[in-house]
Amino acid sequence: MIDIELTLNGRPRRLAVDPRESLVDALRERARLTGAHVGCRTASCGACTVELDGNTVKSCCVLAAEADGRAVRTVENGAEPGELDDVQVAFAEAQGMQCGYCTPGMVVSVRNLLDRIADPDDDEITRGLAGNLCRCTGYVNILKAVRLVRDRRLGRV
Amino acid sequence: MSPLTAEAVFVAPRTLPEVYTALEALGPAATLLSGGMSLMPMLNRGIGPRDAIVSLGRVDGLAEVTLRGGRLSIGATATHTAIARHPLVARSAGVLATAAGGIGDLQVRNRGTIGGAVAHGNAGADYLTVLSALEATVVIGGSAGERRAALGDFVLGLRSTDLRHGEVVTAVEVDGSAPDAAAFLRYHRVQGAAPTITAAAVIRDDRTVLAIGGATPTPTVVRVSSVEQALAAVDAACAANPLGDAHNPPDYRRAMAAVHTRRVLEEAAA
Repeated sequence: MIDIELTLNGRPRRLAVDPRESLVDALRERARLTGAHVGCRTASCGACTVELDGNTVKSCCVLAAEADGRAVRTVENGAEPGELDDVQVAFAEAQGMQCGYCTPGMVVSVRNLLDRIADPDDDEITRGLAGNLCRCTGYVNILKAVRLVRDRRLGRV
Repeated sequence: MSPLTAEAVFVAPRTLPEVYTALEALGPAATLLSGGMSLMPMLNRGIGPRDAIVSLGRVDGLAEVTLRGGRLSIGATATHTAIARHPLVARSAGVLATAAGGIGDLQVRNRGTIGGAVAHGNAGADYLTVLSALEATVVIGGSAGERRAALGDFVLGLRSTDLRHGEVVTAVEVDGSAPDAAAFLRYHRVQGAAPTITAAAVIRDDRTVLAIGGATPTPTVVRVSSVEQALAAVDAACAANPLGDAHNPPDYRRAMAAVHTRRVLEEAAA
C-alpha cells in the first residue's frame, strides 16, 4: 500500500491505496464517494468520469497513485446527499436519464463543458458528451437537460 | 477484477535518468505507463504484468512541444488534447493536430499521449498513420543514451516495436516546415472505438507521401506519383499483409483502404 495526498472536491485528503488500484476504486471503496460508477473498465463508457486537475478523465483507467498531489473533483463535489446543483436539477426536470447509471459521468462532463463553453450549440454539446455512453439511449432528453441548464445560466428561460 | 494479492510498486520519477534506473532495477516485470488509454484497459482485463509500474506522468518537461533547427519535437507525454490545441503543431503540422483532435473522445484525449500511442504500435492508430505520412522520427532514450529511428523502422508489426527493455519513447519529431497541403481521414465502426482505417496524405514540393493504417499490421506508406499508382500499391500491400478481425475482416479493410486512399488524396489536393 502507498499513501497518496490529493485535493478531493476542494479538500485535502490522504488515502492509502494499492499501487495497481484504479482511481474509481479508490474513490468508491476508500473515500466512500460512490457517485462515479464502474461501467466498462476500458475507458469506453464514461460512467466513471471525474475531473483531474480540471480536465475530465475516465477514472477506471487512471491509477489512484497518479492522482497523488493532484486535484480530483467528483460528481458529489462536496455537496450533501439531496443537495443538487443546477446541472443535476436540469437532468431531473428534463428526465435526462432512464436507468440513471450513466448520469453521474454525464453530469461531470456537462459541468466541465459549460465551464469551457458557456453557450455551446448542439454540436459542441454532443462532442462534449461523446465520451459518455447512455446504454438506454436516452440522449434526446440528455441534450434537453444540457440546453436547459445552459439557457438558465444565460437568462434565456 | 482479480484480487490484488502480491505486493506491488509504483514509481513516478521526476527525471528520465531516474526512469531508466527504475526500469533497470525492476527488470522485465516493469510496466511503463504513460497516459494509460491503451495500457489500463489491458491491465484491467488482466493482460500483462502490473505489479511494478513506472509512470512517466511526473517527468518534468516530457510533454514539451518545441520548434528547433527546423524540426518540430513533441514530447512523449503531450496529450492528444494538448497536441490538438498547440499553436506550434497547428503551424508546422496541422494535419497532426487534426488527427489528435479526433482520437477517442474528450476524456481519452485529456489523458492519452503521443509517446504511449507510438510505443503501443497498434494497427490503424491515428498517430502512426499521420506520423508515417509526415515521415516522423521517433526519439528513444535509455541509460546508454539517446537514439533516433524512422517511424517505419521503429514499428515492427502489430503492437510490436523496436523499443527494448529499459528504453523509453521520449519524443516524436517531424519536419518543422508546414507541408504544401495535407489531409487526414479516420473511418471507424462506432464513435469512440479504435479506427478501422486511417488515411493521411502529405504533399510537399518534391513529393506526396500517403499512409494507410488499419488494413495492414503496420501502416502502408506510399510515395505517390498518381492516384492509380497509389491504389495499386495499397492494394498490393493489403494482399501481401492482410489484417482483420471479426468486425472488420481483411477483405473489408482492403476495400475501405482503397476508398480512403482515393478520398484522402483528393482531399489533400483540393
